[in-house]
This record gives sequence, structure tokens and C-alpha cells, in this order.
Amino acid sequence: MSGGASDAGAEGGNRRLNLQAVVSECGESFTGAVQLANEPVGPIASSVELAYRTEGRGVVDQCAVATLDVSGPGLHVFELAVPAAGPISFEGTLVTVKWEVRLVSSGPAGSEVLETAPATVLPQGGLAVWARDAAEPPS
Amino acid sequence: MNQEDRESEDRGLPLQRVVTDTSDRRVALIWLSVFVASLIVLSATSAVDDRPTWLVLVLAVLALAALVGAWRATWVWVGWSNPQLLLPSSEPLHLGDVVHARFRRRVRRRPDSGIEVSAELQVQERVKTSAGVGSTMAEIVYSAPVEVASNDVDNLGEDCDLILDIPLSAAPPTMDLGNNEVRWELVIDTSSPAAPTDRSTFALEVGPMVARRLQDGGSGR
Repeated sequence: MSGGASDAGAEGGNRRLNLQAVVSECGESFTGAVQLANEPVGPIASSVELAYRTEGRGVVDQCAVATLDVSGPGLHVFELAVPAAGPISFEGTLVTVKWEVRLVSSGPAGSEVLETAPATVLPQGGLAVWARDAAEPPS
Repeated sequence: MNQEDRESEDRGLPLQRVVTDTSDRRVALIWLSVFVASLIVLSATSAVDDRPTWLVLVLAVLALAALVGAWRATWVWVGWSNPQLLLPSSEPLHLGDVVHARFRRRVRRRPDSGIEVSAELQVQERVKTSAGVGSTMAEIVYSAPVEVASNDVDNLGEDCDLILDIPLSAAPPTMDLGNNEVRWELVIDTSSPAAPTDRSTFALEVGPMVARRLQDGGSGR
């Protein structure tokens, strides 16, 4: 399920990562597209992944929950599923959870995050409630 | 179906998920262990001629404190039945839910004695600041009193109906990512002339889902 139609993208050089919507729900998915061009050093293996990480007073937890390989120049459409169990995006007192979609390259030198696009994950049913009530989601 | 499940159905509640808090026993055993250990060390060092006075005092105070703690914990353990929280479903709770739960606890020796119950819903953020023991920070980020709907005294003991009002957006759902955790708890204090005041804590699982009644057009909070 997608939220409002808005493009959120990260741009760098000859790459562009775009999300159809920056807000989704647990159990739904993020869809978008990534435009790859020929790299100066030749084509590299790339992947798009949906991941969360924590910030705050505690040791960082991070996890890539969905990954899709994208390689070769051109436009690649992707759909990455959000786990039904979450976690949701929120900003707490000791811990904050942030989601993002990122374009990752993997080459001889290892993995490198090329682009990121911030994303927001709401509880199931949250899009209808918070959009209707214009209220603040969990914080 | 055991006797308790049958009694539950007889009261009109469907078969439920029962959560039991047995921390009283653990607390009593811990204090007893500390008391016994203190006595052992005191006895073992009694033959040492140059045993320092401060050591004796420290061990004596520790043993006395442990004895008091163990006595009280045992009194609670013996005086009260194990506290139980009955929930209407085995599924996680939802954000924005209004849940009717039942708290069950009786005074063992005098089941007809009056009991006062107060309850509070709490959400706690817990984080590990580094690897290793004793490196956890915790902070209660939400707390609200829980409405006690009724006290039903009968010859089977004391049942108390609670109305859990799960906030929609005041706190995130239950979460455990390893080093970072959000924990929901129901804290219930029970007091009676026939038993010492005691506190029970029940972990609640609140899932990342908005209550159906709110999705269908109810008002959010």
C-alpha cells in the first residue's frame, strides 16, 4: 500500500533513487525505481535494500529487511516489503528508529552505500488514521 | 478444560490468555539465599582471630536486611494467590484498543476479605549502552492509570475487571531489536487488611497495528 504520490529521491552523479511514496505501513511495501547509468569503471553489481537502524543512547541495531539485486544501466523498478512485525518509525527518549531505502554497490573493494532515501513506516492501518485525523503518528 | 477455565467461561468471558506473575517466589528465594550466605560467611570467619569489626557489622546488617526481606516476601507469597491477568485474546493488543481484562488474586487464608486494586499502564524504553552486564538504561516514557471497572467478590476469590485504554500515538508498540527495546507493562497494586500490599507486573504485547475500530472511522487520540 502506498501513501500520497510524492517522489522522494536521492541523486548522485549518474544514479537516481526514487520512491513512489515515502510512507508505508507494516506488512505493505515501498515501491520505486532506480536509474543506473554506465559507471566510469564499468558496470558494478548493485542492490536496493530496505533497512532500519536505531539512534539514541543505546547500541545501534540495524537490519536490512528486504534486498533486490539491480545491475546494468537503465531503469530498475523495485518493490520492497515491510515486515508485518515492524518496527515502526518513531522518535523516542532513549531510542529512535529510522527507515531508509538505499542503493548499495558491491565490488572488489566491498559494499558501499551509494544513495539513500528516507522512509517512514507506520503501524498497519496507520495511513488511513493519521491522514484522516491529521494527527501525529507515534513518537 | 480445567476448573479455572470453566469458571472463566461461566462468567461470560471467552477462553482467554492467562498471564501469571510469579515474581514473589523468586524475590523470597533471593532474600533467603542472601540471608543464608551472610550467615555462612559470618560463621566461617568467626574462627579468625583478627577478623575486622567492620566486616562483622556489614555481614550482620546484610543478614538482618535479608531476613526482613525474606520474611516479607514469604508473607506475600503465602498470603496471596499467584496474581493472574486474563486477556480476551491470545493475539497482541493494538494501538488505540480498549481492552476489557480481568485481574484475579485472592487472599489465601481469608478469601472473603476486601481487596483494593489500583493499576497503571506503563511503557518503558530500555537500551543497552554497551556490551556486558549492568549496562542497560531504562526510562518510563508513558504511564496512565487504568480504570478499575468492578470488583466481584464471590466465594471463589477476588476478580477485578480492568479497562485497558491503549493509546494510539503516545507510545510506539512493543519492540525488541536486541539492544533497543520498548516494553509495555501493566502494574497492579493490591492491598488487603489480611495480607501485605503487593505489586504485580504483567508484560503486554502491543503489536504494530491500529485498532480496527479506529481504522473504520472512530476517533483517534
